[in-house]
Amino acid sequence: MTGAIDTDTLAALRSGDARAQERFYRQHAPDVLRWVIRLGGPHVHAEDVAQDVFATALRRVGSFRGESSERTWLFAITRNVVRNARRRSALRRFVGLDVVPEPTDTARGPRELVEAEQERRAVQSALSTLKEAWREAIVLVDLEGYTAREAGEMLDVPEGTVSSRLHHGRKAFAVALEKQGVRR
Amino acid sequence: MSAPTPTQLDAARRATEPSQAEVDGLLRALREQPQRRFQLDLRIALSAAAAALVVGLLLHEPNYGDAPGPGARVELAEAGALRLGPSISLTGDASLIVTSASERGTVVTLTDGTVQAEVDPTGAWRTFAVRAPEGVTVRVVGTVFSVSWDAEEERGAVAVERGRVAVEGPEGDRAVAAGERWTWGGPGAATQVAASPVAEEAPEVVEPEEPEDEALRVEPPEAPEAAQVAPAPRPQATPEPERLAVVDPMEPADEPAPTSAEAAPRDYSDHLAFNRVDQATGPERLALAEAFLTRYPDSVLAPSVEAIRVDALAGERPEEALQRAEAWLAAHPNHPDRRLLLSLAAPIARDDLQDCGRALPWYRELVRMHEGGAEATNLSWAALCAAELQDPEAGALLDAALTHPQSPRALRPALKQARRALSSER
Repeated sequence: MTGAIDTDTLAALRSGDARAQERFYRQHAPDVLRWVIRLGGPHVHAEDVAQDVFATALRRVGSFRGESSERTWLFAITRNVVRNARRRSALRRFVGLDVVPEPTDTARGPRELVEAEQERRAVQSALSTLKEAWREAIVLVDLEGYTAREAGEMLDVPEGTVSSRLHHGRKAFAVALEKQGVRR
Repeated sequence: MSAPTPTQLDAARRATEPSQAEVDGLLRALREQPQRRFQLDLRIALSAAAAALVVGLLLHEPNYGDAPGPGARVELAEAGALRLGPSISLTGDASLIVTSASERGTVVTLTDGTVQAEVDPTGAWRTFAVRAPEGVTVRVVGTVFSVSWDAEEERGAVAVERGRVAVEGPEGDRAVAAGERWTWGGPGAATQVAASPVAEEAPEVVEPEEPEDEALRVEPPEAPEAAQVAPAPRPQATPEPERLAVVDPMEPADEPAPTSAEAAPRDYSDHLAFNRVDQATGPERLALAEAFLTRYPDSVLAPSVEAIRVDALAGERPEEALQRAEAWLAAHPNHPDRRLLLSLAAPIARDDLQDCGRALPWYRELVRMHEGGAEATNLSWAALCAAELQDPEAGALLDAALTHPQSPRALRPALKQARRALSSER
């Protein structure tokens, strides 16, 4: 797992140094975007939410004490921002204003893009049926490849709790993937 | 079926892995953020000094062709015309600033003069809104209109040539249709209305959906029978109002006031306004939150917006943020949403102001609430603050925090150190 953010980087980020921000973005954009796609579900616009994650991180970098690793800190912010985004998305759908996010990947052809989007939404929909705690454990351990111990640190729960969540979550995820037609 | 197969997990990983193009898109958007923030600051400053109109455009297409980028100042009379995205043309004799331009939206600030907007309703765009000081907002429901602001006379006007726009103002909401003109401000500041009230428009009634899981549960509308109310006939035909009304998540004017007590549908305007607040960033977030609280002080969402306001203030003005939170908490001793503000007040006092004396009471209250996953963290901070203040309960709180089954690992060293220090003092 990534170590604590170094003090020079912290100071540069706190001072609003554009080059430090660029490095910070480049280093973490793939992780944050992937977390948002996996945790956010099919109804949130991943790029928008990821932007909010970085905006929140930069706003809060002044109070980041380095007590946890940089990645753990960012993941905690991502969880909160995603949770808010999911709530907003539910509200928008509730009042009939939801717009299904459009694919932003313009590098692929239309057919390839549609197929990839369908596959992504199937997995996101399956993940979205899980309880939040189960979803987070599945994403970190089964999809991201962290150990249960590392996931426990990122989720701020004991390793045993992660294992228990995985046990329950995997059963539900298997059923949900099957329903979404993700091949065994 | 006990777990997904390795094949399913591989497929799940591949499907949810962002492509390089998506990562690049995010990086581009992130690089634009500071400029957008700067321009929002500028817009607020201009609003204070002179009347400013804000034209908000949300576009699908990120391609702006030769359109000026964020920060560009445009004298429309000199430029001749300003093309924004594939659908919007601005002409007239006006001073403008393009405050943001991205796939998420474009914002233009009009500081003086008249801007005429022509919008292709079939093009790739979502909404087009003009917001003015004094609580006036003009939202596009039609296709060609102009907004004027005379900075010397402090008088504004909305004139519609084709289609229809919706105007929100201190006098209420109304539609301004083709051939009509609506003015505000000026000597005597008497608002002249030559337009149809929006309330005549048929309400959009939507059946609530099942939430995805417990994390998404939303309180049902207060009047579920509203879903059975047949919408009243529309007073007039318009080019594309249905499409625009559905895709615009930003403007509350889509939800008109009920036309009669008998057929009163649930008024969602506060929910829609809440969406605007919640989606905004930077100084605009704070400004919209304050506008919301002025307009909907009794909304069920007001505590959430109060929390947004406190959170938005905390970065730059933590003392003011904490004072607002404390004032709200003092005024609402038994409010069910109290936890929201407590969860902000405590860390602002502790982290931003380094004032454990003000943080401790809020942490204590949070601990008393037995708030699920955050309980151990709140307990730990309460203990650390109590220890710092040499509070008589510090020992008990530290013991409780250290023995809590979910004691946060990151705080354990500090808790142990505080416990040792306390024991050695005694």
